[in-house]
Amino acid sequence: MVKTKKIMNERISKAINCSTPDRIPIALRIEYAAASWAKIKFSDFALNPLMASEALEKAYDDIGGWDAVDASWTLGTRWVKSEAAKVEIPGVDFSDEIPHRIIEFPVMKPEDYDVILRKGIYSLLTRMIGRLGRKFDEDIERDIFTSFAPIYKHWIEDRGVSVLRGGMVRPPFVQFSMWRTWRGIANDILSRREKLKEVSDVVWKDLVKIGENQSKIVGCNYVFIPCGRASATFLSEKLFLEYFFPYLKKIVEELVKDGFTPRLHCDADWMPFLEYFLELPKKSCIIELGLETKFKQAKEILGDHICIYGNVPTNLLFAGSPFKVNEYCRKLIEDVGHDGFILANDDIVPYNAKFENVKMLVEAGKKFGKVK
Amino acid sequence: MIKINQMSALEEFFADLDEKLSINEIKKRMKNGEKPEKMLAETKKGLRIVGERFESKQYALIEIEMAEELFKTCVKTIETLSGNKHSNHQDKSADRILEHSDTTDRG
Repeated sequence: MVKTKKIMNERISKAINCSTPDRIPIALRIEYAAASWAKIKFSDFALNPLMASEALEKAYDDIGGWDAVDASWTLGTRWVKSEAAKVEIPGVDFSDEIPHRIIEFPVMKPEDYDVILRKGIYSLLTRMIGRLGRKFDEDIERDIFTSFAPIYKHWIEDRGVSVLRGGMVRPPFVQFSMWRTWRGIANDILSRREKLKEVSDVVWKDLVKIGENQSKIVGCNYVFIPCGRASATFLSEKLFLEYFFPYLKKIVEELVKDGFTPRLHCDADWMPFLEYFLELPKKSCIIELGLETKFKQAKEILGDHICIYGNVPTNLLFAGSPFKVNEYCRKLIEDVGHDGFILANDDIVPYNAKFENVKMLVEAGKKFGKVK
Repeated sequence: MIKINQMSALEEFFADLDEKLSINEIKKRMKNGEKPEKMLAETKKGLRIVGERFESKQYALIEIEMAEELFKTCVKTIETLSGNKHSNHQDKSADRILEHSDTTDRG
């Protein structure tokens, strides 16, 4: 058992280091699908971290185990208690059969940029979450993450499974586009671009500290960085270079310097921007690429610089068959090779995914991912 | 793509999504007694150029959103300065709410 745990951790480490593991590591981000398979209520999965973890563990054992999971047990609790966002919870705000929803709502006002400059990010978070009728401060956040820590410990120490998300850092543009909404951030780029830059210059380091602190509390050094809203789908190259990439670079460099492993979640189209990622610290992070970014070409561009992660399509997992999943994985591994690659589902395993398809992803990874 | 030399200053400022220069240009020309309809037409042309830049991938979705917002600001400025609070302008494009299919993971 100890040996198995060591091998699983080594696989992930070698993939991040872009060297050759004994086989390609497999990671799955399973959320509400685990609740469906375990036949527990979505509301329980969203709001009860222990029940969510148990549902995930049942899936893990029924499938036969794999190398790394996402911290799905934190999901609903985080969104409901520590995020400045309107969230609707299954079984509470609507029927219990679909996952939680995040509502695009302008919780941050234009004048709030100055609150960050004058009083800091926590002051703004407390105000914004207060506007949504909830209480929040640093102590509350610490208590939330402390409550997750035993579950992380179970997965990492008892089961020997890597958890690829401790804390989270949203780069300033991504974070502001959520708090201000798309319309709000579009207006900010038009009317208060200097303010946006001034605040971004200040806040990125505070956002890093928050993510690092969350990671330290739960005992997991992977830091999740959602980037999708800065993809070529949403930003031109000019705005990408002005409002996003310089801050992402600083964030990743700071995290790596402090001993954390950034996991860049890059859904939507990143093809035109991929070469910029060669400016990030070498062999130090994971980049998750969605279907809109061509995986084979991405590997050619990023080479042995960054470990790529992905990307068995969502639709294949709910509408495909085990045969099709097997073929997709075989071809993907053939295209990408064994080094610097984590085989995973694209984004999130859909809540209505077929169990046998997800199981086949793992089996195909174990079969075709072996280094001969 | 429409070339720069075919554009008026207002069209160019709008197409570059420069709010400050666009509004200053409108104010300057309104002061000089130019017809609001002409500026409105140029603003619409600027909007079309933004669309072309989106098609050629020079712009992405955020620029479309910015163009909508800028168009509304320009129309409001023209209406206010011309004293026409109840404009006959029938173009409702500025009132359209852009529905993004933003399914990106926010964490």
